[in-house]
Amino acid sequence: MSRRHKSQRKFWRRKWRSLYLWHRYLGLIAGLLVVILSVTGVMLNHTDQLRLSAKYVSSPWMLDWYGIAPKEPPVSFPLSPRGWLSSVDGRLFLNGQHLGEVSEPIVGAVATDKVIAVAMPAALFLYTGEGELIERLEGISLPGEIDAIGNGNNGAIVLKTDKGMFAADEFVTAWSPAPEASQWARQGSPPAHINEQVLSVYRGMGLSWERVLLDLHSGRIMGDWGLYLMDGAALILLFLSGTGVYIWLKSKRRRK
Amino acid sequence: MSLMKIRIMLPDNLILVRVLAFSLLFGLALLSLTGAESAKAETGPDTYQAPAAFLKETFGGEVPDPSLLWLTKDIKPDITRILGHPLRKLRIRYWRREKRSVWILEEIGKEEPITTGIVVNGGRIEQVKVLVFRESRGWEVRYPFFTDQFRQAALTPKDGLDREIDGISGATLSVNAVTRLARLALYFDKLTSEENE
Repeated sequence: MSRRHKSQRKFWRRKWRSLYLWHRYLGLIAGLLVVILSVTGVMLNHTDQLRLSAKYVSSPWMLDWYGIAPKEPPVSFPLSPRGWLSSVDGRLFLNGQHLGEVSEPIVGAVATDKVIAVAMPAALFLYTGEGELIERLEGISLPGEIDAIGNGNNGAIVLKTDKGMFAADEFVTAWSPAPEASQWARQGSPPAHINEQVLSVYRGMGLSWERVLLDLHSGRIMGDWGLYLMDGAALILLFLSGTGVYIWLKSKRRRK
Repeated sequence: MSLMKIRIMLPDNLILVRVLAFSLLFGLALLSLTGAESAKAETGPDTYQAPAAFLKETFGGEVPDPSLLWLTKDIKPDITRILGHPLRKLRIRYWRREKRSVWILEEIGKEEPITTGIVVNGGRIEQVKVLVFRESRGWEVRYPFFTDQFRQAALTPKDGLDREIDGISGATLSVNAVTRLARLALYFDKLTSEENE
């Protein structure tokens, strides 16, 4: 081996062992990730003030990236003459307008002169014709577990429950035993424009900015590899803090 | 020779190995901690007592028929002031026997509603009980050391509580939510007592 080769090898070995160089280049690599971590971290610390959980991403490519789409197609019930009540993945819509969220699949929906009633096995949601929530009835406020909902001969809301058939009074404040309903709520197919609006609103409310920032912060936005990347960044930061202290101590000793 | 001097004299690559090993161990410890936290966050709602059972217990088995309080435009601004946000419903169901009223109310701590049963007797709180808790943290508000602070609390002229409620570190949002519900129940009781009189 020539002298030149030897000196080159010595040079690279010295470089490899140099903590300063490790510190410098790993610092440069971590720099970009630190910026992402810092900016998203500060924003996440102020989630409530920035109302990040109530702000939604509208960008189609980002919604596609996250695969925001309903698991099942919308389920709709006709509310003659008030239009259509639809449900998608626990979200309720009245003629395409978002009403709120429910935790159970809906059994059916009917309308009377005064209210729109949406039934789930253990809850009954009452809305005005304009879609404003009147009340959510559950537990002791219901006559039993709901199997079906319909209208009686006089138009009143009738529930078929595990404890029998019950009809509500005009404002759905009390229940009394009732005969069979004249018409039970049945699923139907709404006009295409209502279905399109339901799906459009559903997608628009599917991804909050808080979720995106959390995923950017943790790296999950890039899947498992992003997670490992951020883990790597965290480990590099730990390494940099260690080497930083060491280099400082060393230079302090030299100055002495 | 001091320990510090020994460390500084060690070859660079050994220090490097030590720093990396320390970083790795520290990182793994952090990962295990965050793993435990996320496991906790995945648990579902905790029902400590069903609202129906709470009503039966409060009224000794014979629950009176429910009454309705309509949330009219006159009272909505007061409700918004107490809660800090509008209450998006048009009526509230409650149960009353003489001067005793029971309110089953919900308020979001951070993300999920906390269902709370509140008994008001003669304009003062008799009992506050967390019935269903759905948040991933802050569940300490269910314990009597917190809820007992509300006993005999009454409403001030500005619809606040007439006493300080001590917080729980790490459960501030849940504490605030339950405190707001206590104020709201007292306010609703005041309204419905006036109606009954």
